[in-house]
Amino acid sequence: MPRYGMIIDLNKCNQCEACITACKLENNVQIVSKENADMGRAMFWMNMLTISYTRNYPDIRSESLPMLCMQCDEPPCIKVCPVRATYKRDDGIVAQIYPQCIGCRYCMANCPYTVKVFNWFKDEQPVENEKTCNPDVSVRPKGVVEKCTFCIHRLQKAKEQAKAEHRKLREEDYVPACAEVCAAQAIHFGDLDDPNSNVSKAMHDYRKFTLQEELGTKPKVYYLSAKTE
Amino acid sequence: MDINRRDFVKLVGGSLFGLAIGSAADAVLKLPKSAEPVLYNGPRIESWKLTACTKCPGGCSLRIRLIDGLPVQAFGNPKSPINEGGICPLGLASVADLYHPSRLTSPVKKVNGEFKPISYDEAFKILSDNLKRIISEKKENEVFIVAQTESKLRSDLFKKFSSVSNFKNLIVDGFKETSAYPFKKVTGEVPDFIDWDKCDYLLNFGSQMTEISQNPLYFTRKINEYRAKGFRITAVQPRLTPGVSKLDDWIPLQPDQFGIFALGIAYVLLKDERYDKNFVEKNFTGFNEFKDYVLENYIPEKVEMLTGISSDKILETGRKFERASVPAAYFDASVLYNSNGTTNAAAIIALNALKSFKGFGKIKDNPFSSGVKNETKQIEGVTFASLNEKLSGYNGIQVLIIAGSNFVFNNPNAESLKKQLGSVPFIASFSSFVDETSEFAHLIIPDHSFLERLDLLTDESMGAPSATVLQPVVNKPFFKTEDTGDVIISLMKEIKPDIKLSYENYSDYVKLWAKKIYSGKEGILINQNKPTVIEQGLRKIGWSTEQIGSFDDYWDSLMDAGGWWNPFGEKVSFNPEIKFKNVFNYKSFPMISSSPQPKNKLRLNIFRRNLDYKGNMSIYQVLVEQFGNNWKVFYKLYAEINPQTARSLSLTDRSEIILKTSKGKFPVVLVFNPTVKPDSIDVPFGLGHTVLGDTSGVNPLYFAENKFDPETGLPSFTETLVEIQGAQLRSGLLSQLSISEKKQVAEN
Repeated sequence: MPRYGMIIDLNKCNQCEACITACKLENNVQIVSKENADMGRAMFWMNMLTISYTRNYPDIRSESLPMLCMQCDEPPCIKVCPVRATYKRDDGIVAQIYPQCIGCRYCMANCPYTVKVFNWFKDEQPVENEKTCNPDVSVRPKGVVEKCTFCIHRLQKAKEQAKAEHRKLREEDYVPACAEVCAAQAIHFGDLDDPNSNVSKAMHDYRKFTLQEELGTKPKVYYLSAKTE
Repeated sequence: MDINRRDFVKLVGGSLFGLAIGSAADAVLKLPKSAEPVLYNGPRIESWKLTACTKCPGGCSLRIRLIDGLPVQAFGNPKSPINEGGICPLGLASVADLYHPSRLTSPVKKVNGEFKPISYDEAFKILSDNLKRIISEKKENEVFIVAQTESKLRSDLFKKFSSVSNFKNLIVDGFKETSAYPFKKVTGEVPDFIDWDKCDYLLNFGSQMTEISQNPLYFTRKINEYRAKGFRITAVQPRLTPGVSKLDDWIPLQPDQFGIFALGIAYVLLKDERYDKNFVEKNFTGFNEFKDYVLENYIPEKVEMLTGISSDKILETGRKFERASVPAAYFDASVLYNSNGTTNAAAIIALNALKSFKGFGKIKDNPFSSGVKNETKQIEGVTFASLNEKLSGYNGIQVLIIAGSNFVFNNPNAESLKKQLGSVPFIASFSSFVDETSEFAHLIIPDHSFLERLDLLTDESMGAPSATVLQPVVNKPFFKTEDTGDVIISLMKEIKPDIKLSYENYSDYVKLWAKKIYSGKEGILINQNKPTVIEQGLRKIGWSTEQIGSFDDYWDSLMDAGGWWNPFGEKVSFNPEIKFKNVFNYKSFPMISSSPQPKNKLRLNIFRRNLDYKGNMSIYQVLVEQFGNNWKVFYKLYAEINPQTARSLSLTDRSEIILKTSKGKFPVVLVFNPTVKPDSIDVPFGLGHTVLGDTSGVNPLYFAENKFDPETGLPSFTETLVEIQGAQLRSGLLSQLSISEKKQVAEN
C-alpha cells in the first residue's frame, strides 16, 4: 500500500500562487460573499503563508510557504471528531466523509496548522464559475468542515484508468492539481515508501523539514528550505 | 455496424439535446441554448484539447478539459517548452471568459446612451461607412487605432490595415512591442532573448520577470536553473517582489532613478576601463562624448546623493558587472511606466553597450521576423503620447478604433480622458466586455473568446523561435461574436476594393504563417519539451518537417501537437549600432532625482501582481478573492507600509486609513510589511473597476499624479506623494470624508 506525501521546494517556489487558484478551481472550493470574506470566512484549502522575515531592511528577505493540510500520520483532527467523519485512509490520506460531518468544528480547533475551513452558508458560486465546476468533486453542503484531500478524486480516476488498461498505477498517473500546475516545478508528490519515487528521492535532501515537528503529528507534507545565496 | 467514440458522443449528445429542447432556458447563464441540455443532462464524457493562453505575452500552451464538449478547466501542456505543464492563476481562471455573464453576445450600437444589439452586417456597415467617409474627406490622419494584442500575427495585420488604409495613427499596445520601443529608438534593433546559457551575471532593472514579463513561466524555470548553477542576479526594484525575495542582491530603488543608477554603474566600467573597446569604437557613435559626460556627472558619490544607494553598493554592483564575462542589464516594458521611462531605458542600453550586449542574442533566420517592415516604419513614434495629444487637441480624432485595450483604467488621467473620449464623434471597439474604455464606444463588435479563436502565438524569448497554436476548443463560437482578425480583413477589402490580399480570412492568414514554418523545413512540433536523442540524430542526417507530408497533413499535426519550435536554429550575437546622439541628447539623461521628498509625505508605489495583467482580473471572481488573501483583506484596497514608518506615524496594523494625494482621498486598509521601503507606501493595482466585472475596491492609479513618459505616453505608477490622514477605527472611517469626497470614492 502506498503512503502518499508531498515535498515543496521553497528554493524553487516563487509564490506565483497558481497552486492556490488550481486548488480552488479543482475542488470547487466556495467563493464566499464579500461580507463573509470580510468576516474571515474566505475558504482556501491552500494558502501562501509568510512565516518570517530575515535580516533587516534593505537586506531583508521574506520567507513564505504554500500551506495545505499536512496529511499527518498522527492527525489530531481525527482524535476529536465525535462522529468519525474525518479518518485516515490506508494510503495515508486524511479524508473526510462530508455527509457524516455534524459541523461541530472540533477538528478545526484541534488542527495545529489551522488548515480546515467551514461552510457557513450554502454554496453559491459566481455564475461564470458554475459552468467551470469540476464535475468530479461534489460541492460541500452548509455546516460541513472541509480541507485539502490531496485531490483524492484524481486517485480514484487514475486507479480506474489503470485497471481498465490492465496495468499498475504509475507515479505520474496521480498528481494533485497544485503539483500539476506548478510552473517552478517546486511541488513533488508521490509514494513516500517507494524508494524510486521522486518524492522519496527528494526526502534525502538535507534541507528537509516539517512544520511543528515537536507536536508529533508526523506530517506527510515536507518542505525543503530556501537556500541563501 | 462499427461505431466509434466520436459517433457515440454525437448520438448521445444529439438524443439528449432532442429530449431537452423546449425546456426553459435560464436567462442568467451565458451559454448558447443548444449547449444547455448538454450542460445539465450530458453523458459527462471527458475530452481534452490543446490551445494557447492569451492572458499575457508568454503564450503558454494549455490543455483544456472538456466535459461533453464544454470547456471546464485549463491546465498547462507538459510538452510545451515554454511552460512545461505550468500555468499561472490568470490562465487557470481564463475558462470563465467563455461563460461570463457580462460577456457581449452580439455586436451592439449605442442608442440614447444604452447599448442595443444589432446584426453583424449592420455593425460592419456602420464601421466601414465611417471609415470610407473619412477616406473620402481625406482625413485619414484623424483616425486613431489602439490595438492591445500579444499576437504578432494580429499586430502585423493591424499594421497592414493601417498601411493599406493610410491610417498612420496606430498603437500596438502589447508588452513585447512596448518593451522593444527603447531599443528601436536607440539602436533600431531589438534583441530576441537573454542568452541564459552564456550569461553569468544578470542586472535586472525593474522587470517582474517571474510575474509580469515577456515570458513569466519560462523565466521562472530559467531563473531557478540559473541560480542553481551559482550565477547571481541583482534586482533593482522599488519592491521586494516574490521573485526578488529569493535573490541575494536587491537594490531598493524607485524606477525614476534607474537611469541614474545605470549610469553610475557605467561610470565604474569606464573608470576601470573594463568595457569592450572594440565594440564601442565600431558601434557606438559619439562614444567619447558619452564617456566624458558619464565620468563627469555620474561619480558614485553623486549617484549616492541622488538615489540614496551607497557608493559602496554602486561600486560593488559595477565591479560584478564588469568582471562578469557575459553580463546583461535587463529591462522590459515595466521600466517605461515613469515620467522618464524611455530615458532610463536608454541609459540601461548604454550600460549594455559597454559590454557589447554579450548577454543578449538574436535568432538567425527567424520565420516570424516581421513581414511588414515598411508598415512598421510608418507607425514608429506613434504612442500613447500621440493619443493624449490628439485627444486633447481640436478636431484631433474623428474615428477611434479600440481593440482590447482598456487604457482608461490604466491611466491616472482617467477623468479628463473620459471627457475627451465623450467628445470623439465615433468610437468602435472590439472588446468582448464593456469595460472602462469600451463604455464610450458607439459601436462594439465583440471579439471571440480566446477559446473560440485561431492564431499562432510566436515567441523568441527561449532563444528558439516558437509558435504555440491558439485554436478553437468548442465546435463553433457560442454567440454572435466575430474574430477581430476577420473584421479587419473584411474592412481592408471594403475600404480598398482593388486590394489584392493573399488571404480571404484570418484563418487563411494564420495558415500562411504556418506555411512559412512548413516550407522552412526546420524545427519540430511541440511533442516534448526537449528534442529527443532520436530527433537530434535525425536532424543531423538531414531529417526535416517536409517528410511529414503535404501542408494539410502538417497543419493537422501542428494543431494536434499544439505548436512548433526550432531548438536547432542558429543563434547570433546582438551587435546593434548605438546612435544616442540622433535620438537622445546625453543632456537628456537623468541628472537629478525628483525634488526631495517632504518629510510628512510618503511615495505612493503602485505595483502590479501576477493575478492581474493590465486590469483584466476583475472578470474572474476567483482571482479577485485571491487578490486579498495574502493579507486577508478581501475586496478592499490594502496598502503595505514599513512597520517602522507606521509606528513613527502612530499607525497600527490593519487600521483603515485615508490616503490623500493632490487629486483626492481614498481609503485603504493598512498592513505592515517590513520589506516596504521606509519612505513608501505600496498599493496593488487591479481593483476599482466601475463597469468591468467585480467593482469592489479603489483604483489607486486614478489618484496618482498625471505624470507620463514623454516618449511613450505611459503613465507613472510610482511618482505620487501621499499624506496619511491619520489612523481611525474602521467604523469611523467614512465619517472622516465630506459628502463630495464620499461620492468621489464611490465613483472611483
